[in-house]
Amino acid sequence: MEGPKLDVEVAGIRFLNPLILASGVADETGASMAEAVRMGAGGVVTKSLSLEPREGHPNPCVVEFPYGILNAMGLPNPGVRGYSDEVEEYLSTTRGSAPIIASVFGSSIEEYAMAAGAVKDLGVHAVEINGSCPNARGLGLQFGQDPLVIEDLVKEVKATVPIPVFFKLTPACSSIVDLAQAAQMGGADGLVAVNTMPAMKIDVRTRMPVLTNVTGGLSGPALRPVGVRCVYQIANSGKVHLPIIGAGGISTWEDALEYIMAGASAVQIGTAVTWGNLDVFSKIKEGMMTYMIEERIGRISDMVGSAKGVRS
Amino acid sequence: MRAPGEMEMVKVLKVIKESSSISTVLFSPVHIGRWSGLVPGQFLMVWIPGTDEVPMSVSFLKREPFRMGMTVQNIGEATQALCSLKQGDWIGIRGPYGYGFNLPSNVDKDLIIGVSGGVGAASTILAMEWARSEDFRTVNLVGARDRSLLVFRDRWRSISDEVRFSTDDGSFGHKGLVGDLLNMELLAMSDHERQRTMVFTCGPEIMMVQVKRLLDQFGVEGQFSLERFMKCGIGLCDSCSASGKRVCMDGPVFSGDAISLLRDFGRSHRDRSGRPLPLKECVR
Repeated sequence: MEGPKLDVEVAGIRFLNPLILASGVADETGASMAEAVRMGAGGVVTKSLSLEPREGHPNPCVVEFPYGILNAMGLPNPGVRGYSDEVEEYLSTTRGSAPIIASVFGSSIEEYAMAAGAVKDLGVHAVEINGSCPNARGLGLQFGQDPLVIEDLVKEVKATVPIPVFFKLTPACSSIVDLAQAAQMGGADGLVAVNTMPAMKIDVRTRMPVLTNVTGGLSGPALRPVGVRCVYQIANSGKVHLPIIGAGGISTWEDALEYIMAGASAVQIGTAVTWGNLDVFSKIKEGMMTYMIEERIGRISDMVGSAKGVRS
Repeated sequence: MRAPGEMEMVKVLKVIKESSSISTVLFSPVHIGRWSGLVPGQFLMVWIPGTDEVPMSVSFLKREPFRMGMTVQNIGEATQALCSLKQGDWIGIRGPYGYGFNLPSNVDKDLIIGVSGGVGAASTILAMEWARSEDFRTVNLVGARDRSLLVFRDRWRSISDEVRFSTDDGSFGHKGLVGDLLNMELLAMSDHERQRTMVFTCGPEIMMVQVKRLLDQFGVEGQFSLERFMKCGIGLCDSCSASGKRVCMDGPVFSGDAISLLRDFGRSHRDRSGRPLPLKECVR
């Protein structure tokens, strides 16, 4: 008998398994991203890229909690041009075995579109619009909380690139479905849910916020139930028909399956790569395989959105 | 899976001036269990409120009463703030992070040679004290630009079976590179002795490149403590990426074999935005 199949197709892109390295984590270089694939990732998302290089915020830029990580890197990146060697190295090392999605941001809709146009030329397989980074004033989140802006932003990026476009949603909103629907109206090919949650930490000795940026984004286990809820609500809204990539606090195979059963076709893993190691990918794959054999499930897609409450 | 490294606020106990530009900051954390297991070569992220947060080696660790210390050369805003700390000031520490030096089995090795350059000595001295306490024979080769930067001289003498100093300008000890001292040391040894030797090194990368070349030439095993620009210290941001490895998580101490696979070793660093820079621009 053939074993269960882990490969998935999301917005027309095929991944050998549904585990994707999330943006901004261990993806500074082509070699780092290729390392994630060697360790079992089915795909990767680049560091969030802008047209021009950015240094990010001064330290401290992370705070660790037992249940999550608060970070405010401030979108450091070498700019799309500065990153081209990294994509090239990634593509030549992985030889098409794992798709690469480029995360982009800008300080205006035009800048987003220009960054997307520039990454397309690097040979990436898709674009992820980072419309939800909470860590840089005037960038990211301000675009991602307003449905009208989301629609225009996606429309503009779609008009610029022929490859699939994903929109990454913030959990900091009153209606995740409204935001998802706006991305759909703009023509997005898929959604990523969710980005980090705006949060902060104050040190009581110095009475200072620890992060230089004052606030940051919370990720890790604390975020997972929020992310699962967002994915479930989008998938069960009856209004949004786009494939969803789930993200937020996934570190075990159960966590990944929770997102998949909530309605995600694939998942992204970030914080777990820093707390565990890159072997988190192979461990989750093994766990999913065992589960699928036990439960007699042939394909990942058979489980997508399979969680249904008595009242959904 | 490692435990999350929550920040602990600690009060500065004392700042010891080692030289005109180098100071040791002593503090005593409350959560002793967390820090007493620190392996020499591991690092801390140190928050200087209002200024910066930087990775630092632990240069001093004593039990009863529990004390930790880090030795800093004043070379920029953060290190100047560290050197200017006063007794009673609060700083935040998190860690210990990364892999430290790996003490070999006494069955395989009997000699540890420490090769230290500049403030790299802040990392090697604790490792060499440890080697000594575990009954290894210890030879320490310690180099610096000039006499004023050659710190811990008495401490080195007290933990070494043999210690030799070098300065670039000849103001103390051998005039020249610390690598020259290593070359002499290894030349004087038999093949058997070389096989029973392990080298621990930390210092400017250009120095460690020379050490690596000598170890390869003489067939001696070594461990190298690398430095890269770090933001998070926990494997998240990848700022410290070297040929696909995260120095904060896969290092900062790498075996000679691992170093051989790092194409960036001795060649390139990354700036704050992640752009590669040739090494020479980064050497301080």
